[in-house]
Amino acid sequence: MTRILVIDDDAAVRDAMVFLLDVHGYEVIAAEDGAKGVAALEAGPVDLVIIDRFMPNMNGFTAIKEIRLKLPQTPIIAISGSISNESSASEDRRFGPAFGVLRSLPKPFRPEKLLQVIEELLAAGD
Amino acid sequence: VRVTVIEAMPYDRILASTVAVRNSSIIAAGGATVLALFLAIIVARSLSRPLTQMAGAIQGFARGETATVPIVASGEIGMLARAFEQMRADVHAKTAALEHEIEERQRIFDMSLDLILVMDRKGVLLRVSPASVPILGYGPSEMVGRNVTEFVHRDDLARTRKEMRINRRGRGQLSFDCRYSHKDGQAVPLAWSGVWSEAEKMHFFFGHDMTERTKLALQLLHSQKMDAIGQLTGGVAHDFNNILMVIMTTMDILARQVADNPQLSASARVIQKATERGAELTQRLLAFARRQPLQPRETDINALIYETEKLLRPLLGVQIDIEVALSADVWRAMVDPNQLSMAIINLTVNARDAMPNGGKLTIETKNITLDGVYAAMHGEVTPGPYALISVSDSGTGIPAALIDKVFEPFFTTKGVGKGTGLGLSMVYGFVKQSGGHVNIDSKEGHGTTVKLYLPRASDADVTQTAAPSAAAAATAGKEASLAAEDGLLVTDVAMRGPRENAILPHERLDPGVRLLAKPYRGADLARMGRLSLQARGPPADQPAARSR
Repeated sequence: MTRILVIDDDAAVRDAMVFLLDVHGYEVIAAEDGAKGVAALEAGPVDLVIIDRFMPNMNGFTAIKEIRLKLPQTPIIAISGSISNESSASEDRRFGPAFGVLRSLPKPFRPEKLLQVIEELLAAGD
Repeated sequence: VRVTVIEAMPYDRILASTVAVRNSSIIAAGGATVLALFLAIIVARSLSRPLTQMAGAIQGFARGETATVPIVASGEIGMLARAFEQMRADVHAKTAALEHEIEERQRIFDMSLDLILVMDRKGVLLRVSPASVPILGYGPSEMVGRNVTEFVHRDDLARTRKEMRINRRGRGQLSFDCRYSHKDGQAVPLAWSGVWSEAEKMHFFFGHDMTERTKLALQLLHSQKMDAIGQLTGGVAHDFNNILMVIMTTMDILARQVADNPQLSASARVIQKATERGAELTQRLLAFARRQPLQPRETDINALIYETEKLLRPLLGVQIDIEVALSADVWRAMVDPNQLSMAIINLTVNARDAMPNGGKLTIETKNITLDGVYAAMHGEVTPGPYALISVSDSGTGIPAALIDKVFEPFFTTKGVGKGTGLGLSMVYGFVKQSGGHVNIDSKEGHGTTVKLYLPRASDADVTQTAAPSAAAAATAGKEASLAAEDGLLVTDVAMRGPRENAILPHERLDPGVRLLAKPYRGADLARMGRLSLQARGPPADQPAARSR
């Protein structure tokens, strides 16, 4: 079963994504911030990571770097909601290929878009 | 015996001695008189000379001569002369000091940047400082003799009269604000201080031109207002985004569950449509609030405009001409190319709506360096080099009273249902978030120009170069098109490279990809392997080839 790690600080968004992915037959691990998401990887590897870029307690930027150390090949979908302030904008600029974000999705997105991207990335990795 | 001897002598002899005495007396008296006269003349002269000199000196003094009096006399006259000389010197010194002071005051009067008005109790101007020329456009000679009320702004007349009355009642120095009318008709805000001199029966007023300060205060107020609206908007949009996310995601699940019930399915679709509308709205609000995630890259703005222009032509219709005047050596800008393209489209839509009877749209680019003076005059501007895009129309223009509001979200001059009022605010937020500056210049009946000052890309910036625009990418194949739509061409394509280790030398790339890859720098070329497999590539004369 395909394992997906969902990291988002907004509980309702996280729950909704878990629910959606669960309905579509994925095994989902959820974490509420970057640090917990990285810690969750200790339990075992995942096939794909969905992460919010802007979060408290280890933001997406740092978390992606950490995840890349553990999972160099795993596709990552970065969800971009709104940035919290202008300093984040310069950080956002550094979000590039070097950090292995395979696909960015601006929030909010249609569920079928997320499912489509997941399928594409998993298929490309096979 | 009485002997009488009579001796006869001539009468002359007898008188001779008497005559001699008489003669000598006459001579003596004559001599004495002459001597006395002589002495009298000498004494008179010695007495009158200093007096004459003094009289001359007094007359000279009265005439303003400054030469000192030579004092030769002694005694009381000498004392008088010395006292006079002392007085003369004192008066001279005091006059010189007074003249010096008058000259100084005149200089202050002439040099004062503030307007100085001296007027009688009725307000008739007696003296006007030369600052009247730069401040009001009138020369002092044009104003002296006229009543001050002729120059006071109509709306402030009653107040000025009241201040002058209070002033005359001697309640010390007054300060008040009052606008005057410039010769060209413009209102000039002035901060006044005034005193009434009971001895002179004159008003003295000092007016400080507040035009610049008022302008700066308004600018500050405006930028604070925009910030406040931005924070409020951004906060609401951020939370709303997450709420929409939850509704969209869960609605999808529900919709699947009710797929076999037409009525419930239709309801689900209505909800889904509504959330999509909500999503569009929050994206616009986030753009205004400078909180949309941007992907700034070194962007060739000429190439971007060239490509965007193709999307604009069908938008504008046949009645509007487009003129594109691009400066060949314009600097590359550090911006999100997709958002910039959106901004140009937004400006074009506004321009079109301002030209219902047709007209001309002009898009120009050029390099510009904004200096400290410009930055000081425009809030929130950092001096430095910018790539400038200006979009001008020949349309209806915006009334001066509304110009400050056009960047505010939901402000629109278009009819109900015709505009969201978010187009310009998105442009504003995007450019500001990108570290740039937006300026709008409009005259009612003469069209509008919006200038986007985009920060020049420096060597220190991230080395990714701009993706070809959506139009160019579309011709390169579905993959690229999809990526460009997401604003992710570079990220998306490049990331596939390392995973596949597809580090291809330039000559092994598909010719189409080579064209598409042209805007990329060498380092990024290596990562384009994946694209080479999927991109069909534009023919050699297609836009991608010209995107640099």
